[in-house]
Amino acid sequence: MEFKKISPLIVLSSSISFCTYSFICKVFAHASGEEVFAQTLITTVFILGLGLGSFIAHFLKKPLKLFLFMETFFCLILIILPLLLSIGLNFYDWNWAIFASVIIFIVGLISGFELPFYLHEFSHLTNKVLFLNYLGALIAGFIIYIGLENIEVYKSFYYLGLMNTLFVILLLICSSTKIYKFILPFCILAALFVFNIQFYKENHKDIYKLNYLHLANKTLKQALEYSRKSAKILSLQSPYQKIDFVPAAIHQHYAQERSWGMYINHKPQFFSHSEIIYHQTMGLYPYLYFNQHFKNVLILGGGDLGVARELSRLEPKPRVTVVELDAKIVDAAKYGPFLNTIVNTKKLEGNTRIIIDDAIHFLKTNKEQYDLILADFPYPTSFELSKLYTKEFYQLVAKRLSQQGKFVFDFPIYAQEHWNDRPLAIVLKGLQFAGFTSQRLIGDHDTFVFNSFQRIEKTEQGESYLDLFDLRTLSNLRDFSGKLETIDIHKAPIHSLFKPARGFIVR
Amino acid sequence: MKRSMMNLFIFILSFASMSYEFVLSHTLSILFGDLVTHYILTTSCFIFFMGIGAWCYDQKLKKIKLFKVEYLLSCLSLFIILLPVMSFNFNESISFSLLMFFIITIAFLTGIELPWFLAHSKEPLKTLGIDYLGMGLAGLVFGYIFLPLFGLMETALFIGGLNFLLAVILHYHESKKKWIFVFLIFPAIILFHLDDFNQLLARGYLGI
Repeated sequence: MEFKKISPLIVLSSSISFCTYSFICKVFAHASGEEVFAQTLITTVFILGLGLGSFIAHFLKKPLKLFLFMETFFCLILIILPLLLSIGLNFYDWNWAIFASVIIFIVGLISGFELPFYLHEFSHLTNKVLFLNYLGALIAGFIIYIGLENIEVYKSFYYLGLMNTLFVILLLICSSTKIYKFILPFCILAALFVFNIQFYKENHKDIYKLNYLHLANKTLKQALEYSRKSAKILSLQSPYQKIDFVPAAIHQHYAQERSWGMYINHKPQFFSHSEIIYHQTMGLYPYLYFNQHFKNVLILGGGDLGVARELSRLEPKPRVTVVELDAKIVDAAKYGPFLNTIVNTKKLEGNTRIIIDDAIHFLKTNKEQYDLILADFPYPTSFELSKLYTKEFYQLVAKRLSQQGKFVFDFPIYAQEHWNDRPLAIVLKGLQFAGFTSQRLIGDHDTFVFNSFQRIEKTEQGESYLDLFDLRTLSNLRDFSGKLETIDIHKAPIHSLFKPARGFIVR
Repeated sequence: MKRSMMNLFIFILSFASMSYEFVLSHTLSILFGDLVTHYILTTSCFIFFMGIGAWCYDQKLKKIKLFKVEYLLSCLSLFIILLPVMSFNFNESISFSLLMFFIITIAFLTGIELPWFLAHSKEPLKTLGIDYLGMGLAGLVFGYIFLPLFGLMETALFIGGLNFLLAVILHYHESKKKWIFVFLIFPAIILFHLDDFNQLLARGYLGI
């Protein structure tokens, strides 16, 4: 083999391996919500696979034959991966850590054969081989860094599979191996590719829908048939998250005509038939509870504009600033789909300012003081979201709040049950660290934490606000702060950006 | 150097090298969001510049004293989080550039380690195996133990401390001068001021 001919192939093969590793990281980090653990676990297993692969490769007498076999096998894996991953993660309740470890170990093992093979073939050019191999990883890393937002991860495995097939063909040509020997495996690969891509094309939307259908006792075939017949899901992909509008008909227990739910990364945010309870409790109840007319209000998150809508019903209207990271959600609230049916954005004009920015960045750079800060974020179900529940974040909120100001955010609290008590204790510890000395737990179904720098005394509620509430919301306005006495805050760790508390992810 | 000691050193240094990579990727993701993409970026840069380090060792640095590399790495560990975080509020591009500088420098320096050990080892395959094991273990320890139990700053300092300890031992091994162990007072001083480091970090992040 000539080194000149092989050198681009060295770069190509290491790029394919690195891309595969990266996409698998991406898939499992999102699926698990435990990004740090997923990333470190996958890296560890990949390296161990690489190690074992190169260890085995050292003992081989006919490395070229085995290398070609392994690379053809790699093509096969890449081609079946999208289907395997989407079915495994959307339908079967497989343990993601074991699932990820098995897949990445196989990928690592195969990739581990690459470098020793090149080193064996070009033992006099070790440095150049190593350089090209590492260059491939660098190129792959930069391509992913620049273009990952626009890459559909599942489909990309197909492209990687095709690229690897091309790599095998080129290697066969360069090594002067008789290509006819590989006709059968290539035919099998081609057939598999066509079958997979056809199956994926026809079914990937139905497979995706299985996430929401909860058809545990059905076979895959039955589930797909059921999925095909059920209502359609409308999905939006933003640079930050996947937004799904799921018709309530999919959830039989929520079924109400024309009702739908908004999900972010598969986690429910609200349902159209009950959103009013959530948004009124968050936006209006602080006025009633503290009997205080907050004039300058900051909403962090809340791009659906539901809370802003409720605040615009107050007289006199407060000055409202909404800081939302994802412009796609604000656009949906303004122009649709779905969200524009619950908010009339024209009514917000005059008193509501919408800023597209990261909440942390806004709090750091904006110097304004607010009377009421409402954090309308998704629950901390991932590392990225858990940043919004750290002591640093609460310190920034405290800096932007006036002395008499109040801070309200939603958090899943169960009055009678204790399985989310630890995350709650961690959050409360962080709040107290930031100077919020007093807390109240509010809500029967949609639950909130009300915070103040001063001790919150039970005041007479501002009855003038009562007319603004829907009857359904009134049933949610329950103070169950007595639960605070049952939570051991002192033993809880502080959740920090630089020292994330273990077990903080909320289920 | 005894074979068992050498194996232990390889294990510790590969463990430290991988831990640095995780510390840097995590700092990047804290400051710039999107954890997965920043971990991938760091890993790819790290692999490449480790390769460059290994290549440079082979070409021009064969006579380099490993303890000097380790001293340098332990010094860098003091700043890899502090400087990017503190500069972040001042200018995000500077912070990003600093992180990239640390990724490149640390990867380059750790890239020298493995070829150095391979050159001094009689069992290269075993050396590689231990290297992979050390790196693999670092992944699990970082996510499960270092980050939640010690925190990012402590992890960086701990890894730097490990580098420093090995540097002192290697230095002693080279020069046979016992007074070198006096250097161990430096990590002790840093340990004594750990709270100050953390306060500095928090202030730097909040821009107070």
